Amino acid sequence: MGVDLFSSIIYGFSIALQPSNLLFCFIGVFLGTLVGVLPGIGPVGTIALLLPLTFKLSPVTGIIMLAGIYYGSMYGGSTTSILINIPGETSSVVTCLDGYQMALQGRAGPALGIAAFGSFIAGTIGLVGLVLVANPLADLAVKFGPAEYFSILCLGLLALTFLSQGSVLRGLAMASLGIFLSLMGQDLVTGTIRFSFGVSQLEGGLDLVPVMMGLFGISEVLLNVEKLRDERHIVRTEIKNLLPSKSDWRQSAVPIVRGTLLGFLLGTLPGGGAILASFFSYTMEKKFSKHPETFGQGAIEGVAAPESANNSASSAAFIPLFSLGIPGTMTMAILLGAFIIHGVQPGPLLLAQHPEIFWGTVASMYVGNALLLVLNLPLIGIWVKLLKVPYKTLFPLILFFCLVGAYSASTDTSGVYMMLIFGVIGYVLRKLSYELAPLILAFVLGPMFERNLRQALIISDGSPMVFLTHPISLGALILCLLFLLSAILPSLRRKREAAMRG
Amino acid sequence: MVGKGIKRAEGFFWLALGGSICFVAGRTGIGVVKEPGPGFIALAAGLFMAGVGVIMILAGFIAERSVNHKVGPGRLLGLDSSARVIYTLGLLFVYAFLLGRLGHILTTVLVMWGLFYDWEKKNYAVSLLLSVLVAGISYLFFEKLLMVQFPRGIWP
Repeated sequence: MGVDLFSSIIYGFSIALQPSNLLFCFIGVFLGTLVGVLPGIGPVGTIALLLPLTFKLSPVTGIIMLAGIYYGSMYGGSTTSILINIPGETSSVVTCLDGYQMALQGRAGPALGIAAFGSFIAGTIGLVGLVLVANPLADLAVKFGPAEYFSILCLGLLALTFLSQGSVLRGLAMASLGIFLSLMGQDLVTGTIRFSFGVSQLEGGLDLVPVMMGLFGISEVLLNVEKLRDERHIVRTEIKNLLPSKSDWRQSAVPIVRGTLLGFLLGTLPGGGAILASFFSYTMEKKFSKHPETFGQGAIEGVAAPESANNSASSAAFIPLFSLGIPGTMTMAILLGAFIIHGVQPGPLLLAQHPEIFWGTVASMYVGNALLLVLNLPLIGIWVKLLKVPYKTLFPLILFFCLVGAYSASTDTSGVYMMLIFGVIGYVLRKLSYELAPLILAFVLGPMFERNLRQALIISDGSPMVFLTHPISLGALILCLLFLLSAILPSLRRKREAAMRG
Repeated sequence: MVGKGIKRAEGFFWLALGGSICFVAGRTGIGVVKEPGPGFIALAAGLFMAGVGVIMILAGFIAERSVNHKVGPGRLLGLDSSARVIYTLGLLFVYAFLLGRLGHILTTVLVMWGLFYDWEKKNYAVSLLLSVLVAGISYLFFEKLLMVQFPRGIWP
């Protein structure tokens, strides 16, 4: 086992260090840091935007690049939180609290430094955990049948809906809409064309790329276009002493370890991910601290812990995707889409059928973490300069990438129209405070959801008891029921909403 | 009262959409439990959505007024800042419409000119220059390097 694992890791590095993979890993983490630094477009939008560009790459190279964007954005998001008090990513929201205060006190350097080092340490530990957990989980998942898969898919979807911010009822409505949208096109069992409403472009189903680009890229830009007059105030301080002092390390070491472990645990849960991890780790550090009153006033632990947690969670989020084929977060749902477009089905058989993708991606994440450390510390001046680029100049370029991406994915203007329609839908929904995560996860999982439900019912000769007689399926459904009850019962709902508000 | 009204309106929307999905699912064929048809899952999704709609309507009737709800639909939709959004969206639809007719380069120049144009600074020349630059770079990058086939439009 030990020797096998070691040789597999060496094999992974032999793939990740191939010049082309190294180059695209660098491009991925660079773009990830860039979108993390620039408020206005997140990793989800960027992955959706750049997905068509990976079509010409091999699956492993494409996935390495897209994964790089994801964890790169986790690093980059902290820079804006610390320097301009605007989180580049939602997972960096809590970093604003103490990071910006440190910058105001002339300690932007140590804040950026501890965020980068903490992220590196957490990312590294997270990857070790990923390697150790994904394999046994995949071995277990091989024994899962359609009933187990269906129930776990339900649980993942409900958990994401429950743990997303905003109303659970709205999330549930969005999830059911996502399922319906995913069913458009040809039914693979009977060959029937369904829900195309006479539109020939819908007969092949809705393409993932224009839907995602519209919902995330276009809608995000439109929301930002409304606030074009807002100016960013960058802290006027010399960024020095990026290497944290001994005292900084003493204060941060334990919070980094705690944040890493908590982030890893939450990252593996469906619906968990980097956002929850950063919030919970901050709260936990405040409770553990002997001086909780310093939190919010520039406590370095308030930067170290959440930044470690969000990076560790971003590594752990790959576990359900790689081992079960079930994405736990929105970004993972889009990565699942990318896998499928490249003809690779993540899940228990990924390791057996495509070991180069599993080990290559895992090793590239370690390489990417090292690259990020190099990018984040010496190049911090460049990132600060980039923050000064006005959004008025950026947004036309982002929109142009969306237009070109949608066209090149479909080689037809129908893809562009589809993206724009979903852009409008996404914009309106976000204005009305609807979360898009349940919709997109349901859209990506819809076909798996349908296939497993139908298979389970056919195998059991139409008996719904099949979902209750399998222990894993039963356990997942009980959890689903608890989530649903908590959405309906007013007292539980209020508690959840209070917890989400922090 | 507005908050309750919005909640009820949302509920009715989801109820109607769920009902419509059930209707089209039924027409597609739901099959039987032993052998589910192509409309089976859609029916389940529609019923679930309609159920959520009903709960929203009921919640609208019993909801207490809260500070967050004291906003009208106009405020929720941000109608006061919608001019620039409509302008931007309009240009994007123009891009989709003109792409096949005028070709990639000319359409890009026209639409990007409009997008780069600053309403306050009235920077016609700079925005035109930027749009030509983007069109040129995109031609080299996408058409020449990545071999993406864009419509040629009026160009031979």
